[in-house]
Amino acid sequence: MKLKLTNGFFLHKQKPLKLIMKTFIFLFCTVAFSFNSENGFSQDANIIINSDKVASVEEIFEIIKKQTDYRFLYVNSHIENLPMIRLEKGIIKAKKLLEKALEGTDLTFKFNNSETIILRKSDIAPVKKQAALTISGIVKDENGELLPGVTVLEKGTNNGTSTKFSGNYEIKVQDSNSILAFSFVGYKTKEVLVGNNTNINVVLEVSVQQLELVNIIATGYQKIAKEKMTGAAENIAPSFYETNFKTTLQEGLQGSIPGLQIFANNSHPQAIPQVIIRGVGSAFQEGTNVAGFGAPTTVLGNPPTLTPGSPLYVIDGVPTFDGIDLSSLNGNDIKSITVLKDAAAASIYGARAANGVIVVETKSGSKGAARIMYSSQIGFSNFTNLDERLNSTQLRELYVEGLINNTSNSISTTAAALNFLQAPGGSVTPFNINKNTNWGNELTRNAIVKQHNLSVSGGNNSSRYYFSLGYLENESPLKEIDFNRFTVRFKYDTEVSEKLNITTNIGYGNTKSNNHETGTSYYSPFKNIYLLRPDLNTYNVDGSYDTSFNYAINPLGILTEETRALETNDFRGALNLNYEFIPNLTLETSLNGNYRLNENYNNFPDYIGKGFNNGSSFGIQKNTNTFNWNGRALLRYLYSFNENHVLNMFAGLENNGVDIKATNVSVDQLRAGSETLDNGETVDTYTTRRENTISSAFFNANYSYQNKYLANASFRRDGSSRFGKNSKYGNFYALGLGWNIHREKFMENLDLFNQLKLRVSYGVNGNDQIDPFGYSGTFSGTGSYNGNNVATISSAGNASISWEKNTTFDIGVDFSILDNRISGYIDYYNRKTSDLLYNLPVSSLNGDTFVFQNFGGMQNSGVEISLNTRNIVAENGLNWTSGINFTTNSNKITELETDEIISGNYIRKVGEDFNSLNLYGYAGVDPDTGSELYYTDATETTKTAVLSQAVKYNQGKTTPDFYGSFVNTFSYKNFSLTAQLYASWGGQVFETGGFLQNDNGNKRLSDDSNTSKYVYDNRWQKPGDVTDVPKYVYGNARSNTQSTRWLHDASFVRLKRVQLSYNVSDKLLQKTFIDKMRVHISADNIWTYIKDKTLTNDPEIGGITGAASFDTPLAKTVYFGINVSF
Amino acid sequence: MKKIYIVLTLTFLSLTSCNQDDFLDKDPYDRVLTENLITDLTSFNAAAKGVYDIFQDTYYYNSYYLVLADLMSDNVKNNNFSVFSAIDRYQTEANDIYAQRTWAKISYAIAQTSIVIRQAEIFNFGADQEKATELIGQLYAARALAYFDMQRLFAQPYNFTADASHLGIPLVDETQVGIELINSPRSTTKEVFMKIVSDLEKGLLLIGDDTSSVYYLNKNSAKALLARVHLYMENWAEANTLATEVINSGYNLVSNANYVASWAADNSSESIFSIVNTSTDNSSTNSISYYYGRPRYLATNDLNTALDANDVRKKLIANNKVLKYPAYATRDNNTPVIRLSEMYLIKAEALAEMNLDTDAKAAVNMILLRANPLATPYTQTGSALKDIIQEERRKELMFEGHRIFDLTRKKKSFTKYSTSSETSITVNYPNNRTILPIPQSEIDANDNISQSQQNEGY
Repeated sequence: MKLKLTNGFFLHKQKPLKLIMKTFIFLFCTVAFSFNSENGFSQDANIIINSDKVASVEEIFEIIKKQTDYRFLYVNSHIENLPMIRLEKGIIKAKKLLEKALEGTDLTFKFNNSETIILRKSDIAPVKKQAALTISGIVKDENGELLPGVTVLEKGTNNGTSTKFSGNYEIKVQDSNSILAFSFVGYKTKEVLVGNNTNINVVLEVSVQQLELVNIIATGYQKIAKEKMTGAAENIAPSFYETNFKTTLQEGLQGSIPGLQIFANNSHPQAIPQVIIRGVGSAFQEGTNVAGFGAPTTVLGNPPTLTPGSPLYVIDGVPTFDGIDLSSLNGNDIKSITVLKDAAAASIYGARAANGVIVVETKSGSKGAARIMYSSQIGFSNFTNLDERLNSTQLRELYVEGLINNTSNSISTTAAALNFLQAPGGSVTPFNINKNTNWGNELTRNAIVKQHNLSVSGGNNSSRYYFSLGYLENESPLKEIDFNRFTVRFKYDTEVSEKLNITTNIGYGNTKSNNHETGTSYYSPFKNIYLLRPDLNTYNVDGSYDTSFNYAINPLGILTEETRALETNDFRGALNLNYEFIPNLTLETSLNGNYRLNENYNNFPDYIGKGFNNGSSFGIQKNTNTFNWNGRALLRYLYSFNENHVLNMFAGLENNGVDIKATNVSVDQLRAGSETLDNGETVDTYTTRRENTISSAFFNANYSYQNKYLANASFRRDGSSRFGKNSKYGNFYALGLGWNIHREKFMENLDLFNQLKLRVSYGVNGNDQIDPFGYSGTFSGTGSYNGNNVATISSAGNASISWEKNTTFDIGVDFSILDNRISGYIDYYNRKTSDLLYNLPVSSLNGDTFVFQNFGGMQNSGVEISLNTRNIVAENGLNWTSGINFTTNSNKITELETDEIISGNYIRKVGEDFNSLNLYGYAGVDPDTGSELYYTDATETTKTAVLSQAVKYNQGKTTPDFYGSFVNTFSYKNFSLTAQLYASWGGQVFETGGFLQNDNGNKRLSDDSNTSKYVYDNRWQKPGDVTDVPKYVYGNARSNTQSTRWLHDASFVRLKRVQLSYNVSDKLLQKTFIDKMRVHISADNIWTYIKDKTLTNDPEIGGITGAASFDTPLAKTVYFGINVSF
Repeated sequence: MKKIYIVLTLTFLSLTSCNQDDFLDKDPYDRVLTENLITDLTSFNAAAKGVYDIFQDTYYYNSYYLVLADLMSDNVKNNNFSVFSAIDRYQTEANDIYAQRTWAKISYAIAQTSIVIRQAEIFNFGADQEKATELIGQLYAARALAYFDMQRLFAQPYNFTADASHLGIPLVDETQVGIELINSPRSTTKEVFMKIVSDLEKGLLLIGDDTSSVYYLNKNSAKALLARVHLYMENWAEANTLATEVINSGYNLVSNANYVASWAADNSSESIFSIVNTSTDNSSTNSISYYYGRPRYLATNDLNTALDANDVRKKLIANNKVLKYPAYATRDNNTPVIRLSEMYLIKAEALAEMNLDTDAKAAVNMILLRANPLATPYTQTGSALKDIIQEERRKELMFEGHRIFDLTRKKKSFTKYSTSSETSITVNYPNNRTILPIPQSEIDANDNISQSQQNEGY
């Protein structure tokens, strides 16, 4: 039973009396119906209707109450959704009026002696009148988007239908007094009196109560109300991508929904964060290029583009090739991002959906006069944290100590040590205490970020357009690294006839970036911030870069003198035709193309070339053309029977092709200062090409009974050119069941729930991300002998290789309670990967050492919780909403052919997490000698200073136990404040470069021998010191041991974003040409709590595999923005 | 309206009408599927020449293989270099990376030849069939060489057991390799040698008469190789006959005066089969010229003192530095696989074993006197002569990848000098460390080689 909680549960907003009365009525109702009353005398009172009007039952009660002394006693929900009544001017008896008002409903009324009219449900179902009128029409949203699945009810009756995929509906109603109610989750219900119209078109407005989410799930194949979904799928709120400064969308999505795990492992402007949906479901393998082809943008230190196990991205219906680089897409052009998480949601993508699907839809125009929107943001960014390094005085102190500690040299006094440092001999740079360079300051800056977006949209009854321009400039806090993007987009929808719709969609994106080497590379400028001695000169006396460094290269010289430029031109075009043969049967065809040209230009002058090209200048130009197309034809059919059964089906065929061509030219001996590669000596040229195709047939059916019981089945058969004749085709399917419990009769008396839904799904998806020719042995012609071209084995064949399969079981509950004050869902999932594609060692007599095989399995299971609460709701006062999401995931290997596989620093073992580290156990420092100790074995009982007596053993997983996000939004009048916290807990990060970053004397007086403040502060100095940093010994040879000394807890909580915005009041804007205006100040990543205090690097840089090596920490960005519309 | 129907129908048809099998068959552009490898003589020629590219690899005849046989013996020691350091100290372990690389590279040569032979034999070359058949012959000989090299390095010598029944190397399943993953078990040494002999004999049958290039296997080099195989099998008569045939095929020993210079040249009048190495083939630091030139490895004092001061071959060692491959800067010394000198020595050894000492002496003296015209010709007989022939082999074939195999097949004990400072180890025959372990990675990956089939001692 439901109370009208018009003002929520914050009592101060309520009028106490009214509340008490309602409470009383609530309690009273339960017994009210047992009153045995007579028809009283007052029922013949006359009621005056002073004008013709349409009124609700409640309004009629008000009229009666005003004109008589009657009071009414009823259950609120009983009179909700009752039809409107047409009243004619005149006088009518109260009883008559009430009879008329309740005609056709299941309510009866009684007058009792105390002037109270009691309403109750009758035991007999109302007699349904013969339907007479046929009404039809189309339902759309405010943007002119067709809305399928909208419930259309004739008020006060059980008579109802829902809109077809085309947004059309048809319903028979009793007469012109009938009222049609159009309701749809996420939209305000709209009621329309039939009157003389037989064609009623309706535009539904988004309900403000539904927080930010519009609950239409666009799977790329269909749009379906979330209420009707049986699978786990969710839209990401636009606030996560609209004002996103990240050049690739993904980082901004961190923490947006449960189950979507994003590792912002690098702040390089073009870094692509790793994205994982519901755990690592495919085998990540260190150093394996799974595509079997140089990823399009990878040339000398550009960010890698391929992460095996990442989801499939689909942009406007086109699956992207090798797909994770979304950098040419402007977040402001995006209408929705939908994440399909389980088999029932994603199975329509079949062979490529094993690791989930992310569906991106771009904006369309909306009906109405041209609307111009402009937004701009400008801000500053800097690194979140840099490890503190030693200054010259501190480093010299360590050197002196280390030289004395080293017993194999003859230095035993400070004076001798200082003498040695001034004249070390050889090519070693003598120590210069007078110089103190802060390499961090030299190489970093307060970077400027800015973007501008302009869009124009509008339309009339038959066509709509959307046009946008976007520009973004993103500088890295590391000097000379930046990213620029320019985008144009045009979308045009038109109704050629009542039956035919055509949509064209054209987009262009141009990106330009300047990059430099990252990570542990010799050329990595960032690494040198940490490693270069502070006593080195940046410049020579004559102003040129000091290039005399040994084991290191002047990073400022690299940043300014070398060029690593990447330019991308990305074109997208789509043509969609939608033709309705007969009502309920529609043919849809779509053709999409995406052409991308990557131009990678590298130019290294002599000085840079020194390290790898025998001292010569060096240049590379690599151009990659990619053409990705997709064609689809599908038929939709909607069948409803008896108005209770609705069956929505589609079946279709789809072909997809990717053609990648690359040309590479390498040139050396370039003329000094050369801007192009046309005056050197060509070293190497090659061209290469790759084509992949997928051909599919699919079928999907959604069935619902009275919108209460839902069933979904889908089947897809994919053929892929990546597999051999024996296994070219794969069959994938999913089944889902749903139960909208809140629609059950028995729930009507449990009005705590506005929504309660149970859903279960099960299905199988595939993964084909392997060497496209792994099914056959191949030969390549890269070698030569005695001047002849030769063909040698390139890879061994495995004719039996086939799809990796991912079987997902999901059970979830969606709920909304207390007048939608609290809504959310809980899901449990269990994903099982079988026939795991793993690049395994094989007998080398096959002509290869590693071959992809279907081998073993793993499992990811976890719980996802999402809660949205409206804590304070007030029309014009303070509003407070919160969003919490939380995900646990546990990964384990379920099957391996051998006991364990050791791969680099990882151990793969049945029952263990896929990303488990295999390292020596660091046992701290011997307090007597200052030397480092290791555990002899996994029991960690015996310590040894002799490494050869120790063994590597499983040191646990890098995967976090859980991650989640907590968003709070406060709004007061025109102000709004939003803060998002993101946490990841229980994972580990291994600093593969930790031994360099915390050098313990191993690097001697090399120019890259600086060390951390942590080492300086905590080193062992004298017997009895208890610490975890061993004695600093000049020439110490063991500090590079890969042990748990460099393993840290990666748990952290980060304030991802704070935003304060102000909507300029309409009053102020009235006299201007501006329609709406909003200004905001935002800050990203400004605060981070790191659990492990000894972790000086950013906790996120390890990524999924938890391996960190001199990656740039995240940037903190503060920016101002303005949005105006005209 | 009709137009729209047509457009829609055409769109639909275009999506569905293409032949699915064709549409889904995409051949690679940067590689070729094995089934499409051979389409004519030209493509076969490239595939057939591929095995030489493998021979030329760092991990095979470009450096590793050549260094190993001398390093494991009394000829060469490590000059404090990481590569082969455990092997140098006779402390090799089953997971030794260098043993693994050598194993893998020789395996590739076996897989390459087996696949190409199979694909060529099922292809009809039409008018080019004769030329194709000759190439197939070359491939049989090449595979035999690869089997032989792997067998020598990873299994005990032929005469280790009386009937050669001890474990040899795996022989690949020629019908499956390159199609399905294979896991070949270890065969007995006898089976391996039978296979080598049969491959060489088949090669000799098919191979043509063209012997113009020493850079490819031909009739003479296959015959010379077979002579060497028979020598290892102690089939003295066959070894003698074949070596004599090669000696009479028109090769000439390089003169004493030109001997040192001949090592700087690409090939000489006594080259029978050499692997070409160019600067671009070996632009890294892993070439034989780099290894001996830097020097990463040094000749032992023992070898140095064994050479007479007047012996021209002593000029190939200076202060323990090996000068046989002098192209340190350009790293383009070719690798001599078989030379005429070896044929004289094979002939000498076979004859001595058949107790034909006079002829044996004549053959070995050819080599002695060419190296040192002032030397007194050998007059010994019986076992003394046999020892002298081995000593001459050591000097003549030093740094060419023979020594350890000669020591073991002759069941000799010797002193292994390791590291530049020469720690010495006495190696008595038989010894587990005179052969390399089957790489642990192979045992792990190969279902048909169990841990118990690892070479003894590993």
